[in-house]
Parts: sequence; structure tokens; C-alpha cells
Amino acid sequence: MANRYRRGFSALCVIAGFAVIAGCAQTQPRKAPAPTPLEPVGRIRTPEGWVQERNAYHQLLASRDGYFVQTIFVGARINSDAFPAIKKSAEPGMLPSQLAELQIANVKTASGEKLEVVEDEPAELGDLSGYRLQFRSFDGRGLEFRTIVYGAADERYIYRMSYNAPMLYFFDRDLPAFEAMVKSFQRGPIPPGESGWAIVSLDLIPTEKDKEKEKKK
Amino acid sequence: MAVPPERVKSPPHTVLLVQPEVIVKQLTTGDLEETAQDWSREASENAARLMRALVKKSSAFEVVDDGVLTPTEKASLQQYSALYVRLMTSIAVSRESKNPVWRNRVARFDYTVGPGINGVAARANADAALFIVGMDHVSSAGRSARAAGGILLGILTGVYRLPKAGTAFLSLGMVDLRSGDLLWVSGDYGGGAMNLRKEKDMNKVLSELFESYPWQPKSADKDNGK
Repeated sequence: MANRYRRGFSALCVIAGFAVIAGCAQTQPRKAPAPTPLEPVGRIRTPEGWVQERNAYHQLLASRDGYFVQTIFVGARINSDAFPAIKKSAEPGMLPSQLAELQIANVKTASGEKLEVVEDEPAELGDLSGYRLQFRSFDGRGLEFRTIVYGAADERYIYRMSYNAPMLYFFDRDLPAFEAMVKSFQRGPIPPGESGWAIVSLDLIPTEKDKEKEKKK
Repeated sequence: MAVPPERVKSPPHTVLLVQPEVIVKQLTTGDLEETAQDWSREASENAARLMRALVKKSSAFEVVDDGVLTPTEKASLQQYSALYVRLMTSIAVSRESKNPVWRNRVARFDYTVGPGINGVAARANADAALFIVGMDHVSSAGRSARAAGGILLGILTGVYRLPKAGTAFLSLGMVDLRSGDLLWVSGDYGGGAMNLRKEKDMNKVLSELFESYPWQPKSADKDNGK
């Protein structure tokens, strides 16, 4: 009878859910690592002591206790594919408030309107003017979650980072670590000889074949 | 899996048994599932009663009932139960991770639900809280076994996508009521052979899970009534 914690368990669905919130991911990360190299467009310092990984779409994930407790997502996209759920672009010259509006629409479309916007304010992301959104949601057991999404665009890319955690204890405890990471963001590759940085890479965009495969799953 | 012994000053003597939450899902036509309220209540009550008997037999600690808590405190405790599910699932996933950093994270076992639980359960005057969470579902004949990942995800989200045959999951976890630190966790998921609606099965699973409780009294202590 007993299969005590022996069987494997895929966290991909849950991770993908947070990625959709961040607005920078596909519905499901692929399992096999992508063979293509990262395309560095920025750098950040991730929270000390957190586990840092990269998914098959080159997005950076970090968590301290596990992705079911808290998740940080970092990614970047070319402006023409900035908001895939609503098929909209980030146009050069757009105001942060306009980007925020598209971001909210993208999140709501991707999440099925299950998220409530509780904060929408301008924010700095590196040397760029952008937005900071906060969403509220509940899991199947009624536990309240909050998600913070930062975003900003330059003439080529939109950069985004998100943090998701339960309001009970974890959100406030780990928020400063996330905010410190956001403050560390700089555009461009890691300067030679500098250490302690994590690469912010352009997301890999799934092919139509990838999308078909995900639909079948 | 438990907190390393050097981090435990003394094992819990009195433990608050949080109202177990064993959810029994029932298949409906069209491959949908819904919670069978009566069966869920029965399985949860069975879990509480059998756990009390098991603890009494082992003399591992004294069980404190949550009847002393106000409805608001009980509701808050259920939120901690939901948080416990999150931690328990993270631990289960981390243990199976291909990334050794996650596996080492489990070995360190410094998980917590936060010290706020102290205020919620203060009236119980207990050293620790014991959570029992689980899920079972009634299957139609001939269906294949549900994947373990699906069961865990169902426990976590309350949502199933493709209901399959009768498989179940049960987890016990103990939290220090002073610090909120997770002291011990044990979980079991099985195939169709595990039916949490049956008292006999529930008792067997609880007994198996409780075997890993790290502060079982030695048999000599039990004999001396210590």
C-alpha cells in the first residue's frame, strides 16, 4: 500500500501558473532543457540562500522553501511579443501606466480573471520607468496569496520580475529579499570579472509545435 | 522526516490535534469530481478518533482537543493547515527533485509556518499542533490509478483535471506552537489499495505514518507508565 513520498511529482503546472502571472511565460515549461544558449539582456543579484534555477524557457526562478511556498520569476521578452495572452506589443514610447494596463489584461486573460488587482503604481526598474502591480488570489484551500509584478520596457525589450507568496507569514517575511533583488537590476550583460550576478535572459518563445504539444498534455 | 535532534530542546508533551481535513472526492458523469461532504466528514472524524487512540496507546504525548478554541481561532488554524499543505507539498517535491540543492534543503529541515500560530492556539496551552490532511476519491470500476503528482496537486488546489481510479494520500505533520517550526512530517500515497473511507485502512495508514514519529517513548518508559 505504501508509496511514501517515493513517486515523482511534477511541480511544473504550479510553476507555470506563477509564470503566467508574471506575464512572461508559456502555459507549461518544457521538461527537457533547451539546448540554445542564454541571451543575456540584464543582470540581477538573487536573494542569498535561495535556490536559483532556470527553466527550459531561460527564465530565472528562485525560491527559499519551495515553489509551492514562494516563487520569484525573472524574464525578458522582445517588445513585439510582450503580452502573449492578449497578443499585444509593448510599443516604444508607451507610458508605464499603459504598459501596466496591458500587463493586467494579460494576467487576467491568462489566469481566467481569478486575480484581483490591489495595487497599481509607477516604479523604477534599473534605469527604466515602469510599473509595480500587486495581485491577490486564493488557492483551493482558501489560503490568500499575493503576487508582485514589476515591469519596464526599453526600445527593444520588456523586463519583468515577479514574486508570489502566501499572505500568512511568508509574503511579508520574504518581500524585502525580492525588493532588494529588484533594486539590483541592471540592463546589459555581466561586466567581465564581476561575480555574484545572475543573468537576465531573453525568454525562449515556444514554436507552434511546442504549443501543440502543451495543449495535448 | 523531522527536524534534526539538536534543534529540539524537549519533545512535545501536549499536542493540539487540529481538526483533520480528509477530502473524499466522488466521480460524477462526464469525468468531473465533486467533494462528497458526508464521506469527507466521516473520514476526517475517523482520522481524529483513530489518531487519538494511536497516541494514547503509544504514550508519545497527550492530545489536547481543539474544543477549547473559539470559532475564529479554529478558522485561523485551518489557514495554518492550508499553509502546512503548501510546506508538506514543497518537501515532497524537493525530496524527489533532480536538483541536489533542493534535496539538501529538505535535509536541513528548517521549515516554519511562522510564530503567529502561537497566538492563534494559545488557549490550547499545548506544545505543538498536529495536522492531518488527506484526500481520497471514489472511483468507477476499471479506471487506472491516478498519478501521485495529480493527487498532491489535488490536495493543494482542490482541483482535479482527469479523475482516475481510487488512490489516496494522507499526511501527518507536527508544528511547534512556540516557534511555528515544522518538527516532523510524514506522508503516504497509495494505489487503489488505500481507501481512507474504511476505518481499517485509515488506521493502518495512520499507524504506518506514526511509526516515523521521532520521539516515540521507549518500551521501558511505556511499561513504567512514564
